[in-house]
Parts: sequence; structure tokens; C-alpha cells
Amino acid sequence: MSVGNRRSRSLIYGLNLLTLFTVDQPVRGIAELADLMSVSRPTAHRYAATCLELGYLEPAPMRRYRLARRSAEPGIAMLDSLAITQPARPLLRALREQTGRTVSQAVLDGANALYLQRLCGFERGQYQLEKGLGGGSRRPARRTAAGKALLEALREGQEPSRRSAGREQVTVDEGGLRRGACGLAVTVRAKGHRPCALEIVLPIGAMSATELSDQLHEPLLKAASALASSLTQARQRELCLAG
Amino acid sequence: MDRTGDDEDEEDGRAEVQPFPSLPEPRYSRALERGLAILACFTSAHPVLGIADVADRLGMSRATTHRYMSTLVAQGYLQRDARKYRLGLGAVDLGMTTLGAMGLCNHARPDLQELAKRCRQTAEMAVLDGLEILVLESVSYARQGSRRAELVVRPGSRLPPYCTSMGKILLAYLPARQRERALAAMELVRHGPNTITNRTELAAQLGRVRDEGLAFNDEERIARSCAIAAPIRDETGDVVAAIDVTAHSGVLDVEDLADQFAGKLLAAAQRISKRLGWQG
Repeated sequence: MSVGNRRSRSLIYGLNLLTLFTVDQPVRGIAELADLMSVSRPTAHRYAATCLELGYLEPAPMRRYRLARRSAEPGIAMLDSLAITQPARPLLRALREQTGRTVSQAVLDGANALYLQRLCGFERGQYQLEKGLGGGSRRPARRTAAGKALLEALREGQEPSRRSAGREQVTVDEGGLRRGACGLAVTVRAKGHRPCALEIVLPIGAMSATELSDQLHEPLLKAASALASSLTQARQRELCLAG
Repeated sequence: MDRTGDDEDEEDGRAEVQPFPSLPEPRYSRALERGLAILACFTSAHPVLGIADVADRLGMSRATTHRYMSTLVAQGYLQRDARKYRLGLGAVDLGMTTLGAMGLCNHARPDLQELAKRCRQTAEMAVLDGLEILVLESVSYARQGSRRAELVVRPGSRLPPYCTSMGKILLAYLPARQRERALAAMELVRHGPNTITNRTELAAQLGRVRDEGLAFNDEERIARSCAIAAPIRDETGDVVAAIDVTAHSGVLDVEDLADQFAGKLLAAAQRISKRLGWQG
């Protein structure tokens, strides 16, 4: 039996079971899974038992289940496999080391900023600002410095006359990210690669506007420039190999 | 039992190259196992695969593989690019729900509870937050009103890093420049009978902590309290937190802590790090 002749209905049921676990509802029992999937309890149990056996679910108290680490592995592999992710990691590490702040790389995914990687800073207030936000998380683009920078870059791409010559501008977000946070970001554009943004986030009031400009703009621009060069070189190597 | 199509696994009528699935009992869904096995074929080392690659790897027929991969494409877990496939954003969403739903504390809590129980002491976890440590979790084996209960630090408490075992771990694994900056900015105030108030001595001890992967607090924060701590790493290998076991030094000294608890502490730290994706 299959959906659309060429699809496995059982697989769809199993995958749907996994998606019923959310950040708000991380733990579920067989009865509620069966109700939500509109299947019998033995059927829901079969899919849950398969996920448990394969390490995609783990037992929770009261004979319930929650997502296990293995469920995250395909997503992490997907983010790691993007050509723009690997060259950015050492640059992000160096940027965090220099600033002590949380640093990220993001791309535009529809109306959201999708964070490909995020390294939590160790200065005061950074952990509480960032808890729960890791690589792969999404935020509305207009509410993040990275998203704003990417949207601006998109507009510039559509209207070439608006594209500023020379280096990228730093986009500063003062408090729009979430309560208590501000950030600054810069886009990285390299031919043959999806545009991305590098972002620094810090608690509002941790630095004055002058300190922000003096201490964070330059390292951020340098990291972005180094990433653009690295991506351009990688592209040239690919073209040489292909040619 | 309602039918959800697990019989469809037999559909092709073609012999598989290898027996599949690996789960032998009928109470498991073969289709789901195959679908998840296909997803697991895509790694950062092999991000792009064709039907034949996956079919060969899993010992499945190409027709069966094609049908499951079409299903995964339709559900957003794979994306098709010409004749090749790569992971889709559905995989990222599932992954981020997993990580977001768990969080650092949820990852660590069961192991901290087990650690506290096995050591019959207090187990804690903290992160570095500027020039202090922020205690995220504290699990006590002590009864209220007992002497050991006095040592319990509430989650949310902030403590100086230089006189706590978790703080020493977190300072020791900071990038060198940040560590030097933090040490220079800290005022080393005496809190307990053995607080290290000399920067050179502290820097040397942090070097030993990096070498050994363990840190101690021997009545350095308060009298009659000692602790042993180990690092928690994330998927990138970075030290993101520290856990410790704290004891009353009237009962145990730091040598007892090392002898009795180091193995249990390191095993717990490794389990938590693995849950966070550390492969080491």
C-alpha cells in the first residue's frame, strides 16, 4: 500500500511520529501519539518501538518517549556538508576568541535566518542570552542582525545600482533580536556560493555604541573578508578541477 | 490493528543483495527502519548520493530504494538535485527540535542525578559567564538540615571561578588569550582557607588542569568543602560546561575524591558530552 503509488506510507507514518515531538511538547506517550496520528495504539507502539530500537527516541519517565540524539544527526550532517560551513568554523572560533561574544553564521531560508553554526560566547550574560539557540535554529530574518544584513543584500542584488562598491557594511540590530540582545552582522558574498552572514550577539548595554564600533566592527569585517577569500579560492579550485 | 502499509516492504518481489532489515522482530516497522537507514547514509563525508550508491550500501534493490527516497523527498528530508540526492531542511528541523527540546540542562540532568546517587554527594553543572561561573544544575544526595546540605549551591548562583573546581575547568579550557585576559581582570580574594591568591600559582594550576582533564577545590571557596570537576564538550570539541562532585572535607579529602569519584565523574562527563554530539 502506498501514497501516490511511489511513496511508502509506513515511512511517512514513522517520520510523522518523530515530528510530533516538539520543543513545547518534548515528551509523549503512546496514547497521545496514536491519537495525533489517527492510528491504533499498537500501530503507534510499533513505530515508536522502531525509533527506540534505532536510537531516534529514548525512554522518558512514565512510559513515555522523547527524541534522542540520533534524531539530530542527519540535520547536523546536512549543515556540516554545506560548502560555506567548514571554512567559516575556524574564523568563527577566532572571532569568538577575540571578542568573547557569541558568533554565528547564517543564511536566508525564506523569511527566516537559518543559523548554520553558533558558538556561544563566554563573556557575562552570553549564556543566558543564547541558551537553546544553536546551529540549525531559525529566527525571523527581520528580527536578527544576520537576517537584516541578508535581506539588505538580497535587495541590493535585485537592484544592482544600490550595491555599494567595496567592502560590506555592518548591519547593527539594537534590541530587535529578542529581549535583552543586540547584534551586528555582515554579509559574505562569493561567486558560486549562497550568500551568508556572520553575526555577533551580545547583551544590550554590555558595550557602548563607541565600544561596539571600536571593538567589534573591525574583527567582524576581517572574518567576513577572510571567509569570502576562502570561498572564492575554493570555487576556483573546483573550476580548475572541473576544467 | 489498522493497516499502515508495512507489508509494502515486500513489494518489489526482487531478492535483496543482503538480508534487510537488521531488526528481526515483526513488532518493528521495516519501512521506517529502511527510511531512517537511508537518511543515515548521508553524512558530511558523503553529502551527495545517488539511488545506486544508497541501494548498494544498504543491500536493497534500486526500485525499493527509489521509492523510499522519493518519500523522503516528498517529506522534505531529502532534496533532489538532477539525479543525485542530498539532505533537506526537514532533517535540520528534526535535528533542531531534538537539540532544542533537550537543552544543556536536560542533556545533563539524568547523568548528574546518577552521579550524585552513585557518589552519595552533590553533583553540579556550571558554565562560565564573564568573570564568574553560573551554576545551571545542582543535584544533592544530602538530606535537608544535614552538614552536607550546607554545601549545596542553588541553580542560578554565581561563584568566582578561581576558587571552584568547575571554574578552574572552565578557565583552563578558555582560549589562551581569553584566559590571560580573564586572569588579569580577576581580583583573587580569599574565600576559604586554601584560596589561591597568587596569579602565577593559579596559572600553573590551570596548566595542570588542561593536562589532566580534572580540577580540584580543596577548601578554596569555603572551609570544610572540597570538589572535583571535569569538562563537558560539545560536538565541536569545545568545553561548554563543567560538572563536579562536591563533598564535605570532614568526611573526604581531595585525595579521597580523586580515588573514589574521578572515574565516575569522567564517565558522566563523557556521557553528557556524547549527548551533545562530541565524538571523542
